[in-house]
Amino acid sequence: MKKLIVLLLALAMVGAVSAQVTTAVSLYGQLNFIDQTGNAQFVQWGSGYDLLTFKATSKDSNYGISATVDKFLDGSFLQGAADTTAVRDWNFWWKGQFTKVILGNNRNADFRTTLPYWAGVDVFGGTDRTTGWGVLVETLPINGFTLGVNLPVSTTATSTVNVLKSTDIGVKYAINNVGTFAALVNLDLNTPNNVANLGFKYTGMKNLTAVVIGQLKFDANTYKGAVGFQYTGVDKLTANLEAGYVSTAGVGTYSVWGQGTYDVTDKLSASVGGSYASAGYDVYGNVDYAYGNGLTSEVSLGFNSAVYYALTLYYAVSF
Amino acid sequence: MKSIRSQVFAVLAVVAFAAIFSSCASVPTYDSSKPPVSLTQATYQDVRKFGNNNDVNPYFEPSSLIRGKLNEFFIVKLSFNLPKEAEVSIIADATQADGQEAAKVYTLYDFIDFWDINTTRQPDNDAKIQLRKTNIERSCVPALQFKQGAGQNVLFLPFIGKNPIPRPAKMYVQVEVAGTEPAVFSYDLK
Repeated sequence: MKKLIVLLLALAMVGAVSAQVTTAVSLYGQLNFIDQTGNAQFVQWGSGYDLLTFKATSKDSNYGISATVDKFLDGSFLQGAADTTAVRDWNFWWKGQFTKVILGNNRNADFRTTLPYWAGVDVFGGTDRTTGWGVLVETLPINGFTLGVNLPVSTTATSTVNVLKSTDIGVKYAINNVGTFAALVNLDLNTPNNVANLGFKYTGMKNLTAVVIGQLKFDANTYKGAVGFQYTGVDKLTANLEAGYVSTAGVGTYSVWGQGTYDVTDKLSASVGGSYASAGYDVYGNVDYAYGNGLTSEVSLGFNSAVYYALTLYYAVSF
Repeated sequence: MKSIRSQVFAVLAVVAFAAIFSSCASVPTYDSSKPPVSLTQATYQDVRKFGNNNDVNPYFEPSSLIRGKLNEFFIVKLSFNLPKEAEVSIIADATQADGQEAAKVYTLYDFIDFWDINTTRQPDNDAKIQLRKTNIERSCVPALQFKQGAGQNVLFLPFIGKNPIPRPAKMYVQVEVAGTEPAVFSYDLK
């Protein structure tokens, strides 16, 4: 793993001085300094995880590679602890006049639709990606229409018929001045475990984005739906409202969330929000300060049956 | 019963939000005193409305910690004023004195790809990245040939080159709305 990362960094440096290729190496994660227990702890991957991303693209942007290393800071690479660092996904892609081919251990969101904010609605906020080993072939948009077929070719030898029975089919249609419809059908006729993902993002009104998404897991008897609105028509203010509902074998759970964010200055913003869900409620306020070049600190104070607070440093740095 | 009331309340809240903000959205209308299309270099104020930094604003260049700003943007603003939907054709290039390409013109899908490649965060489940993508979908020229709806609308056409774009260079954009004289924008980048 260490050798791989060193190799990726070396390639990035080559890219930095090459006129034929563009490279990007970036690190993304968060640090928690204080939490509601009153403790301070340098948790280098925060409450989530850090990612080291390497991307390289040809001068004409017609082919490239991308790789993401998961938990780069999480012990193993920097501290020699348990080996949790791993290449989470990688792919090689090629783009021609009419098609794009992506192959590798994919994590592709070309046919995915998510709520405008998502983080506040925890029951359901985005349709599925195309993930795992395989080959994804897409048409380039023709009058806004895109078709994709993913063959999930595994690293273990599998009957070709079974691979075909697990084909994913994606469709996307962008209507100028209206919005974008996307659907991804994850076929799994073997298990069976068929899933249909549907989404529509409406951008036909100035400053208003409305999203409707649904996921139908027929064989698992699980059905999900969500709707989200984002309004940016008031200067420096972004308003969000989102709601999601999930039915699993007839038992429903839901979540409703709203937030307003005001840009006090170009670097300082303040948010207030709240959610009401099957699991309980939450109200909070955040103050964010962006230092530039991807570094942001956040002070948050909230109440969800008890007061909580935190100081977090987010980093999203390109090298 | 309490659960049902809560769910009804939640649905009503979502519907009310949609209704309130839908009514706030202004509908651009055709103005017969203005040309069908006018072209200018986009100002900071023109693109600032998409956000105060490149986390959400696609028209501010990406920057890196060690290598600094790797690209330079030159954004052209296309202001449409059409009585009805019309076909639009665009010719755009940026050339150096020796005829070499100085910067590449990007339309919607290529511009989304550009930002996917230059995105530090996870592009598909991060609110800021989603907002930036929506800003592109909402404001970037969709293709070099497309149908533009009636009324007054503004679209942006980005030229992207290595930082700095080699000078001197000529940025050229010609926009033809079906049935009208082409509008031309030419700018000498020195």
